[in-house]
Amino acid sequence: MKEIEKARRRQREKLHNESQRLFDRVAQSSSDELLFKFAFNLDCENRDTVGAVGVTRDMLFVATEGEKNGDATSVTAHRIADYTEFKARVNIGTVSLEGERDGEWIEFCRTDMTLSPYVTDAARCLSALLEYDGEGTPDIVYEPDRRICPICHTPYDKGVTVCHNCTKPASNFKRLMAIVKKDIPLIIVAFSMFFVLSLIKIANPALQKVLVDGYLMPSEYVGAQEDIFKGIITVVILLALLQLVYRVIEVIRSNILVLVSTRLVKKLRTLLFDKIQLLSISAVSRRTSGELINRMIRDTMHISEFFSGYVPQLIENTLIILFVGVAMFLYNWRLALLVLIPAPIIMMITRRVWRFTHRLYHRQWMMEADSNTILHDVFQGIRVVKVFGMEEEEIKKYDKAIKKVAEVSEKNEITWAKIIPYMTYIIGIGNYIVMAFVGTRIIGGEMTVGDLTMFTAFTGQIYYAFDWLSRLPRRLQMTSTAVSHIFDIVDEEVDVKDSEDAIEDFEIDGNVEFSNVSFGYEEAEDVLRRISFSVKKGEMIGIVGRSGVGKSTLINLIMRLYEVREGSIKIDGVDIKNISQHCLRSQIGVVLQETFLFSGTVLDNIAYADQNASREDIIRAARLAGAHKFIMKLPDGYHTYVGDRGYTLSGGERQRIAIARAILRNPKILILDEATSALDTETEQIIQNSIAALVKDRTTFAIAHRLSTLRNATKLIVLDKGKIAEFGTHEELMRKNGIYASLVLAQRTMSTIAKKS
Amino acid sequence: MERKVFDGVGDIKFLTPENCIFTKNENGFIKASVDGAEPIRVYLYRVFPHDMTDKYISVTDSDKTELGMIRDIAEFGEDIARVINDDLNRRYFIPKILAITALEEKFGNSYWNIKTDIGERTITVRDTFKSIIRIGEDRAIVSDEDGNRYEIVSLEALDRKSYRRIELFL
Ligand SMILES: Nc1ncnc2c1ncn2[C@@H]1O[C@H](COP(=O)(O)OP(=O)(O)OP(=O)(O)O)[C@@H](O)[C@H]1O
Ligand SMILES: [Mg+2]
Repeated sequence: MKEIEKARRRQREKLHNESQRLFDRVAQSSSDELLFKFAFNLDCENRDTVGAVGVTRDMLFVATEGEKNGDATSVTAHRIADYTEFKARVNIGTVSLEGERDGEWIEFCRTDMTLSPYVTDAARCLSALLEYDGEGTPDIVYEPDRRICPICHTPYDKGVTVCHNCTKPASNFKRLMAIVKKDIPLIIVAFSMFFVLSLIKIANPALQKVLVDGYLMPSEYVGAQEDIFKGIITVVILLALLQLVYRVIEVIRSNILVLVSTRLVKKLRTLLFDKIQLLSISAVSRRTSGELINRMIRDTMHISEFFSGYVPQLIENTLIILFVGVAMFLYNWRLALLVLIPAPIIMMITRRVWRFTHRLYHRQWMMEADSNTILHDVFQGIRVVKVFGMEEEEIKKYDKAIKKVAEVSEKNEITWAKIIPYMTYIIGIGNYIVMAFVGTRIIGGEMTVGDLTMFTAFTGQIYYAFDWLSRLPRRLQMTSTAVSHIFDIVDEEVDVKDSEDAIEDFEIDGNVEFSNVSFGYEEAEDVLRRISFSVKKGEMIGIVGRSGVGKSTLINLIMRLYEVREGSIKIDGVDIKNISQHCLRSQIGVVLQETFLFSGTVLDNIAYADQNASREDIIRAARLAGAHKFIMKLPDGYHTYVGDRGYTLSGGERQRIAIARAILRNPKILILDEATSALDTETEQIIQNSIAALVKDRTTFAIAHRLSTLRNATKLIVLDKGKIAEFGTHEELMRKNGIYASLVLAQRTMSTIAKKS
Repeated sequence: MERKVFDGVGDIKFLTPENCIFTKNENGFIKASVDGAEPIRVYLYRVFPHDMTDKYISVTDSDKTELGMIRDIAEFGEDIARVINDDLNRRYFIPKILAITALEEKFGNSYWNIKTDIGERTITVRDTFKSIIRIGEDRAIVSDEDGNRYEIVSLEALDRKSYRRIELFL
């Protein structure tokens, strides 16, 4: 471990040292102050190299090593104003910085992904410099480091601000303790019980010795038969009583621990769930729902098991080693030493073995998970499997997967079966030492048979404890991983955040203004570029454009599901960043492109928009959405169960429920993303008319591929290649004879053909 | 044997030496002139990067509109093929792992010392099981935490020690 860590550091330092000289050269070449600089590590043919880039207000310097080592360094200077565009091109495994000059592109530098944030951020800053008009100091912030751990220099996971490499398990456990703080008195009670339990455990062998030496095989005369008989009974009763006390305490202790650990699980789950609800969509969708569920369920279980199962054993075994060790030393220190000397070696051996077997089983576990994925896929997509007649293939695929699992698990079991007997043997080795040592002394009369039983029992106990402890590090690691999985999310910075002085009670009127909005899901690639338009209250805006052009993205920005990268969106003159998210969204009604119904009744699903809506309002909303009629045909009316396992609704029916949901909200801004795409034109028209009556004073954004859907739109936005290609009324755009007009024509031709046939 | 499913519809525009001229400009970028049009800068993408590195190359303009597809680079003759391959190699940078000299695991992450065709590297692989993608029985692609990719061309061909180090993650 240490070695690799060192190698990694060496790798970094090498680049740093070598680039340092180049930075000096860059600094010499320019009279101006450098705004930012970074090192790169590949040449344009992807060969290892070292280079440095420095940027001033109007120049870009690229310094590279000469051809051979020791040769002169060369610095090329580029005037930023000569270029029309800068771009970071993300390739597979590399990123390059390119600039366009007189219609021709040139590549300035190239690096592998390790240094990619430096390049992508540089491209962003250079583009900003291009727009800088020379007045004052340019307003650029070069901070690629914000996504890189300052300690180990590896990039964080997207959106996370804690480093996996650098979080210490100790700090994780400390935080866990902080969570169970309230239960600490209980934990202390449990802890004191451990004391008693361990004491009883060592009292057992001692009593057995009394039994053997005092009564069963006394070395001298101890009394009459009757007395011996009485003595034996007393000791046995004592043993039985101790055992009873032991069990009772054990039960109480377990109860306490179970209580504490279930409370811990509950707290962790609430913590996680609350946080996940707070996180932005981009943060949540970065992880699969399976992963999130795993973290909620499996990782928290893991931690709870650790607390209720491992921590007590840890304490118990530590105490036993302590007590038994002391007892043995007090009784016969030479024997104690003899027994304990091989312990560390044995611990090392067992630890290795456990590590090895753990990996075997981990692999098996991963393979099982794989085969489960196949199951999951097949059951989810059972319709697709059936209609394509792929049952046989799926069976084969699954067979293959479980065969692999079977092979691996068989191999593991065999390995296991081979290892276990030897392990037991090794753990039992101490007994032979005791036997030899005590046995020879029994003959000599220095020790007794009772000593033998007692020491054998002690050795068993202490070796068992050592064996257990040798397994602990592995378990500790697993738990620590689970804990960091959880804190990972808990610590994640909420990227769409309400500012401190966010307006809580902003009443939306309905004027929306985009100015110079740019946004992209990925760092390097923008989906929307410099979008500007304004919409007045009560207008209906139709958004059209090719699939994937960014229509849904645009409305996501209005709802502030994502933060714009540049520019601003204002509602009634107020930047939406300054309105609390809850306040903003509570006044927007939306029908998303993917209609989602929760499992629950139709009523639940519509009322989701407004928990306090009256039943009558719900019926009105459903009627407006054209949903009432079909809902009444369902067996239980509004109480029909829909969603995951419920009544299967058609695509259009689902859409209408979603529309009812949006209408019920009585929103100031209504957003319809392909809200009626699954409906026939006639039904669509009916719903549209009722919506039109409803939305009179509201601003509506409607996305549709079927242009007739947008016939009521007051203005249309045509998106193309991330920009607004056309903006205006239907008539204006038709006169313009551009993209929109050709779309309309194409769809008209379609419908005339349809009518003719 | 080619199966005729589409019979003329859904035809792919194939670029051949007859309808397309590839050149490399002085800045090292590849340009193409399709059907006699002005040469423009083009971008090459492998359609099947895993198993067909020199066949089915999609050629697009800067807006990612596909101009056409190369069926087999070899059709263009040695010189042009080299130009095309150079460009592809600049886009796809996937060093090949020749040996794994050390591998340690900690908290689900693993730390590797590897020998690759471009030198030695030390990499950190997050979530090791998920980061090793098997391609067929014998090949594998490893993604490290920075987003670099490394290829193991043949697991069989790895030396025993290297194989033993990663065996449990496969
Ligand atoms: N969550 C996401 N993460 C990354 N990329 C995304 C995400 N959502 C959308 N994209 C990409 O952004 C682009 C714009 O997507 P968007 O959903 O806005 O398209 P659209 O215009 O609504 O298309 P359609 O008409 O098909 O609904 C697409 O290229 C898409 O692949
Ligand atoms: Mg969409």
